[in-house]
Amino acid sequence: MWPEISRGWFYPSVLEGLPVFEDRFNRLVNGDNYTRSQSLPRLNAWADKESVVLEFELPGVKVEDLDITVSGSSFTIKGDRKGYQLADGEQQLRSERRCGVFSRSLELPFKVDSGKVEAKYEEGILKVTLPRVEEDKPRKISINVKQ
Amino acid sequence: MSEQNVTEKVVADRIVQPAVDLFETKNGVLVLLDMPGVTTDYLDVDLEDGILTVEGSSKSSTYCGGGSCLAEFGAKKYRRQFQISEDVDVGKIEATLKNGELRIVLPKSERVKPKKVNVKVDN
Repeated sequence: MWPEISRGWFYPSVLEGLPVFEDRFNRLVNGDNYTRSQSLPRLNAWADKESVVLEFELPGVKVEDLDITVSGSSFTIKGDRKGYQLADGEQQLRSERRCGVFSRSLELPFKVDSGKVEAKYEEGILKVTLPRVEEDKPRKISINVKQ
Repeated sequence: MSEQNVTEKVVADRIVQPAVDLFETKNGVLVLLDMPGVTTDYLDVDLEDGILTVEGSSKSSTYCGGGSCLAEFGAKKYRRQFQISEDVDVGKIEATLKNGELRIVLPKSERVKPKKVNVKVDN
């Protein structure tokens, strides 16, 4: 088999394997007892040949409490959602929202240009656009046919 | 019965209850709701017959054209209702939406707030 060729074939479905990778990664880091936690921010992801777009549901987070790290094709987002600080004489009656520290790591389908990563935070949704590194982009090679 | 008398209520595909935190503060109750993706144009906060209704909808993402896709959340309609006690000063309820977080302040009406009353004693 030629692995170089099959790589091109399975490329579009690579992202579908993301949660699997993520679970394995988190088990590696946190041990076998790790189960996928509901406190992870929910994610939408798209990829074409040029870039990956990630969208995280992160209501009520301050931008300065978010930390994105990109290295090659590895992506990590860490954050701290600080809850309401109770003042003297105040009490919490109900608590359903998830606050505190979170971290989510993904393996992207290709290497991205960390210098060109863009992030935008609007209405509690964080959108990160990660362009593929130039040299990693698929190139069309023209073939001269001698007649 | 004419068609005008019949109004069909259109229900979104997904209606979710936004997660809520409630706090009792010195001046009343603070309500915090998570509604990511909702803008003020698509948010309604109503009070009728002592029931506070919060409704909002989030758009679906513009992407997902071509390429591979992983979707853990989509467009949804949020809806949640709260029974408000008579202690709340309904004229002074305030709601603000920021970063997908809705904050509603329900102030206690003046007559419920503890107040020190000076008592004069007639001898």
